[in-house]
Amino acid sequence: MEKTLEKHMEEAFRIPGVSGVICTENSGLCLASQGNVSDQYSGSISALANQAARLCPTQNSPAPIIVLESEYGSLLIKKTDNITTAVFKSS
Amino acid sequence: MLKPRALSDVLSQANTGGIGSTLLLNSEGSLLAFSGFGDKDASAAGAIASNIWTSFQKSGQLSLDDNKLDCVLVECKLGKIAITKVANLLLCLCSEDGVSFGMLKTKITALSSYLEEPLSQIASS
Repeated sequence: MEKTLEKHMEEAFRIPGVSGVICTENSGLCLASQGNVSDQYSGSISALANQAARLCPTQNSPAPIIVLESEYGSLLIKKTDNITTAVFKSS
Repeated sequence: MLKPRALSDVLSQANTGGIGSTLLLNSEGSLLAFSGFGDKDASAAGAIASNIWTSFQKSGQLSLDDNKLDCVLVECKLGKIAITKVANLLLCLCSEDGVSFGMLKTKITALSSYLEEPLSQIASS
């Protein structure tokens, strides 16, 4: 059932510079993770995606991509359908 | 009529990535269908799952005045379980500890949506 998701996550994890990938479902529970990512991040990631979507100017605009940057790396978050995906990149 | 073999095949689709068994129970906790690895404890697990579900449903009815319990997720020392209602039956997924709650909930939701219509037809006949 989850083979396709795992395959796509592995592909994303293989991209140079990516240190972790995590997918969460609507309630903020962790679906799957790869690399150096704690399952406990899933709630915060889902909440961030939901809050950012509320700031979008129009209801029908696609979900925004959130980028968090720090001196140690960056984190990209995007919600698609019922899954929120976060990609951790090390600098 | 419901084909038991086909039902077991559908249940077995969830048994990947650390999920050990999938059980379909009636409201009393009796096992109606099972798919998984090693079935020695399936009847006991089914009875316990049914008991947990009934307890939470009663608790929700009493404290929140809401009997529409959607899903119960339980984390034990050696594994996790998910329980949900399908038609007038209970669906239960038992997994090892490494399976994430999100995956468990997504799988049980997918399986219950798929089985809802055929099992409702049987329940109403």
